[in-house]
Amino acid sequence: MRTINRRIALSLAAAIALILAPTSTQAQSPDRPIGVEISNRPTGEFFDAVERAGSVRIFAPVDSELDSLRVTVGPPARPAEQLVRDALAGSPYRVTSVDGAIFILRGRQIVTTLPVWFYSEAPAARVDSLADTFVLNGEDDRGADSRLRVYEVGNPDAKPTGRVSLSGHVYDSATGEAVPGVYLQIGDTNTYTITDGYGYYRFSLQSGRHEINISGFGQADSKRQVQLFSDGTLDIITAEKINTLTEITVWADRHDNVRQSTIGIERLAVSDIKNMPMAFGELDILKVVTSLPGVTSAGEVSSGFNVRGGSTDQNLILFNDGTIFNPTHLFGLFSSFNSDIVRDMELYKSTIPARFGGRISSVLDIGSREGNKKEFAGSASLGLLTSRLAIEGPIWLDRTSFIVGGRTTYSDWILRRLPEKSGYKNGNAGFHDLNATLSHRFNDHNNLFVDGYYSQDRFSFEDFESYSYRNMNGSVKWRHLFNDRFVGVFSAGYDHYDHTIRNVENEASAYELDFGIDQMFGKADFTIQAGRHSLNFGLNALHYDLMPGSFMPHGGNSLVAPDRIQNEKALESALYLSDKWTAGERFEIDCGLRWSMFNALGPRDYTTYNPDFLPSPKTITGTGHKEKGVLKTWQGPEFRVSARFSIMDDFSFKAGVNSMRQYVHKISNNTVMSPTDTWKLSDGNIAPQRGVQYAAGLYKDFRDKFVELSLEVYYKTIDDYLDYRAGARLMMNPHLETDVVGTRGRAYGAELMVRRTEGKLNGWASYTYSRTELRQEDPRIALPVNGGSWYPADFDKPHELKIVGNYRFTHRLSVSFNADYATGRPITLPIAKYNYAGGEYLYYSERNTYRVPDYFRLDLSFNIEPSHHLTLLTHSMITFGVYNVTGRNNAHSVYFKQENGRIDGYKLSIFGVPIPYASYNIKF
Amino acid sequence: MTCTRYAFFTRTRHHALLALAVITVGCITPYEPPYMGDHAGLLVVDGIITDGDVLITLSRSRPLSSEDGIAGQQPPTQWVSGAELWVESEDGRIFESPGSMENGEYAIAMGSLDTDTRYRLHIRAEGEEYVSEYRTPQSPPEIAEIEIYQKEPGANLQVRLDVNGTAEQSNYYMWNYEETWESNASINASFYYGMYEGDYTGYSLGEYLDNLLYGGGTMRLYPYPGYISPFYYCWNYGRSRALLIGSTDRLTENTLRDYVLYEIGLTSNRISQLYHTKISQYSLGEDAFYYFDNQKKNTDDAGSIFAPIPSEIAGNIVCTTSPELPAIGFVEVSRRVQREIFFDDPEGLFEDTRQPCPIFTRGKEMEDANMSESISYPVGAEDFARLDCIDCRRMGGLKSRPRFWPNDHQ
Repeated sequence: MRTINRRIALSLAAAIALILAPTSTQAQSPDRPIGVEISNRPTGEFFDAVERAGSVRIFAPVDSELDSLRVTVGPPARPAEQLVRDALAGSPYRVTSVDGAIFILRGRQIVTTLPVWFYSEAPAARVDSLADTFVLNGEDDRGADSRLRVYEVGNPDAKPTGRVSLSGHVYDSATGEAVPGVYLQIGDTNTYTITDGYGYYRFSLQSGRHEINISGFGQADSKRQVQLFSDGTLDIITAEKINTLTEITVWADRHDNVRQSTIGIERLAVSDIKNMPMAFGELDILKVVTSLPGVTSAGEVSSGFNVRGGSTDQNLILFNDGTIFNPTHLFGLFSSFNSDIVRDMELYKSTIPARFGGRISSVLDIGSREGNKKEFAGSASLGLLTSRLAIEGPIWLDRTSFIVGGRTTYSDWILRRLPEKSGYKNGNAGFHDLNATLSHRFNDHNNLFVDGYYSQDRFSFEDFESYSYRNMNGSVKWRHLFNDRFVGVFSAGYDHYDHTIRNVENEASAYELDFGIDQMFGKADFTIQAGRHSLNFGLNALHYDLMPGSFMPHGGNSLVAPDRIQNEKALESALYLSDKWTAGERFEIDCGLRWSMFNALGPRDYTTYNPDFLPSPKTITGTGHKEKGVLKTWQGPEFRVSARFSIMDDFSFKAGVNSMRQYVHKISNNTVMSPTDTWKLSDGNIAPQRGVQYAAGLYKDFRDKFVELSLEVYYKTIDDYLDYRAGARLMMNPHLETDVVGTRGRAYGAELMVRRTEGKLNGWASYTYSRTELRQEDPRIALPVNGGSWYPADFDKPHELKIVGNYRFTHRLSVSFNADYATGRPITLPIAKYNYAGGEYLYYSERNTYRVPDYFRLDLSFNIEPSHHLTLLTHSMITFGVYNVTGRNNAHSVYFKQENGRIDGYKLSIFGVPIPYASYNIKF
Repeated sequence: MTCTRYAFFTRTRHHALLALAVITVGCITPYEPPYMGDHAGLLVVDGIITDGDVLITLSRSRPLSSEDGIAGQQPPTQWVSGAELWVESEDGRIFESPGSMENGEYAIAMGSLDTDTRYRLHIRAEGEEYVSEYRTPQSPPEIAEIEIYQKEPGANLQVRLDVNGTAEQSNYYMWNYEETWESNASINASFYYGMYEGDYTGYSLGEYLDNLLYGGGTMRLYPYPGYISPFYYCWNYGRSRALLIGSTDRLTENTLRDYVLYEIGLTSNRISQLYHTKISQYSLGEDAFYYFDNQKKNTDDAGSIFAPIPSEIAGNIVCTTSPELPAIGFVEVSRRVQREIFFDDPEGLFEDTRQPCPIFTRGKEMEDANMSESISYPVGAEDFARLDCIDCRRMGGLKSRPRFWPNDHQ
């Protein structure tokens, strides 16, 4: 007879209560083997027999199905738990043993440890989500035994089927936010995974016992022991890394270089780079990007950056899936991204996943934080030029959270204090930006994210002339787990960029010049895990509506003739499929194919040209008008292949090839990215840019010393990069094809990098040798630049040495340093002057045959954290430092000016003196 | 070294103003370019093969900086004289220059160009031999109209022209002009009397006056009705001082309407009396046009850092004896059309900004004007004025009246 107390209708809460009760009154070990033989008897009879023989108590639900079940067991003798489990094998009932008590539940396993949320105000919803998984849940890292405990995952009675799937999310214990970029590695093997942007991970493993090492991305290192029976999930909750005397900030995640098949990926979490010295003490994500090997910038106030020889418009800059056309404020002094909001960024320099497309050089994917799901928090910063504020918190505890951040500047007062003769007293400049993210977790299978971004810049130097530009983005994203092997992400959004120049100097010729681009996008991305394969496929659609320029009278008395260039509309769509196949411990290959198609759409007027000549008004063969439908289609495949071969466990070789297509071109013929640049879509006369990169690398870990070494080489070709013809007119030009010319490019280089991830001294040092050359080889070009031979691109800097580091004296005081040496960028200098047609003219060298003086800069900063006490209401950090310590007058530009009949040379430095700064950041 | 806040402006050639600026702590320091190899001393060939009298100028490029650096003494233009120079046609005719004139100029009498053959320039200078590319003469359309026009009050006068080309003719034009203008002294001095006495026996009147006038000091005026001072009327001569090129390749028709070739400031003494300009128009091939256009851009935009990257395009002259030696210039072959216009400022737009020319009376006024009076005067000489007020040559004029000048001034 079963006792009534056996027949509890079990709830998890009750189970927990039971577990809490002291139950160690058993004199005999419950693990003692007992012999029970029974043949085809009802379960009640069997349970009674086990209780008697094994001195255990069995708790089972009141369940007619269980009552009517008949069981058979025989020798050998086994522990009671095993005996019951064997007897119930094949039934839907699960067995859990806790300190001499055996619980039987239908279709579930009991959580035998306290879940993390037990002591916090965990909502019931969280429990529900546990209930339908076979989880012995992970727990807080504050409990030391979580690392030693064995988590059983899956149905222990399932037949061993070889490879099974283990998946789950990684959450931050303090904020409840999903943590992306966490590196999970099985033991010391080559089997690893990295959580995706939603903190989701998945392994395909042999069933059995595994140790999962968890590291990286601002999280404290940890491990989990897993006994894997069948497919199941394990959510891992980790603590944010708290620095102790022996454990130092990690600058970027480790390990992945050796084992990932991808080449040339840089991942940085904002929490890891916050100590980097920065001009004006403002953490600037784009400046961090340019401190990575293979990334150069044209100058200190240029917002653009060049990746492995690509031009500034060949980088796809994504912020929460939205395209950012101008990533800077104040002419490049600040990036448009608020570091309080940004969680992390990934820069793809070489292997670009098939899900990305549309630019040929790189992808910079910036993600904002989710917002604290547990409590309200915020941060604020006061600087000389800017102030920031960010607030985050739960709307619905553990389910819905928001984060809102804003930045603004108040540089007007600085301008006003300038002396009269400086010429800027009447000037003003300013910017602000605003971010908002709302995230909602319906359940473990469905998440929704809503992101919004707005940034605006305005500046003027005289009252009568003003400039402004804006970025606007909005997107909605839904992530759905069809099952633990099949994930889908659906997103849609809107991107906008525009700029305006207004001049009212002369009432009669007052004008407003506008440019704008609107984008609507929809994306569906799916990932399927199947054995050793991981399939990623999906489709993207992007609709462009570009207003190339409008020149309009401003004010009632303006006599300016209104002029507006017709809008360009187009649809860029892509289908992609990629498969990452882990062929074994040593070999992994990722093959992707992206079919990209671009349709230039009506309505618009078009012109056709004689293909034997460069387009010009003289070679027009016809004009027409397309009211609707497709005017021109460009399409083609893009290949994304990369493979890794492990020579040894900590030493691997990788190689890959990537091809890309780009249909939108930046129109600007100076070397820096300026706020007045416009963009142009491909059409019947302007072909898409195409790029192919071949790369290979060697990667070595010295794990005991936390040192990683890597060497990557690459060769890249670029086709139909737009260069400008002599005398090109770029603004308000309705037929730009007659002013541009397709140029070929090639780039090659080697990047050697050593990185130390832990220890008192950490950071990286990299040496890059790289060349980037262009050539106008179209035979239709009458007078190609430099006679049609290869010439260095403006951003060709062959030698570059970068050192970024942090040394921690104590856990409250650290010093960060940043050193950058680079060959001066190429310039074209006048080398002689001469008289012609009655005037005096300059004779220039061939393009880019000279270089500005070499660049060197050293920055230092001291970071003081007054207290680390976790219970403090606010945490503050004081940073003071010096940008350009040596005060070297680095040349941003060299130019010549004819003054009083004499030509003089000048060198311009942006930060030609040491710039001290201090900043005070507060977190609450 | 100046470290300051600064901004840079780039003015584009068309109506829109594009300004880019940086406000920060920036430094502008003089920049001494590195040694750039021996690029000075390249042969510069300036001229066009055309109908009638062809003028080719040969010079050498010179370094940007001297031994004292870029800020030092600027080297003077180095003209190339003594070169042998001739035009040859593909059908074997030779048109030789008789030799160099001053300032590296070489004249060649071409007569009328034959559009059925091709011409090139051949130069033998300082041991090297250069040839330009053979080119068929371009045939420019006539200049339909020249107009001197003020767009709005206070604005400079624009010398504008209309051209009606045909689709068969080149879209690219080059111009140069020769201008002549009469400029008069402010005061018609009837009589001159020097401030000092001397022996002028044996001097002609002109020599006597020259000595007198350039001896310095003031000049005495004496009423002499009906008399015109020989230094009252002068003529000035000018030539275009820059490359003047234009194109219609962005236009649907090969026509130029109200095309502004150059401007004349309202304070220029060009328009003080009578102005004449003779504009020569040539057609260019596309390659020649872009060569010249690039030359202009390279120099005009040199001062702005956000300007397009300058680049040098090769001209059409090669050195046959040392093919690696570049030569500067593009020798186009084009027939020439000319049109001229007189302008006598009927609306009185000329703004006389010359120093005022007061007439001083003998005695206290002269002392107040700090004019010494240590000489004796003839009887009746009471009024005086500065020399530059009564001698047009002091303002740059010449006493050489062009034969075609339409009035009877002497």
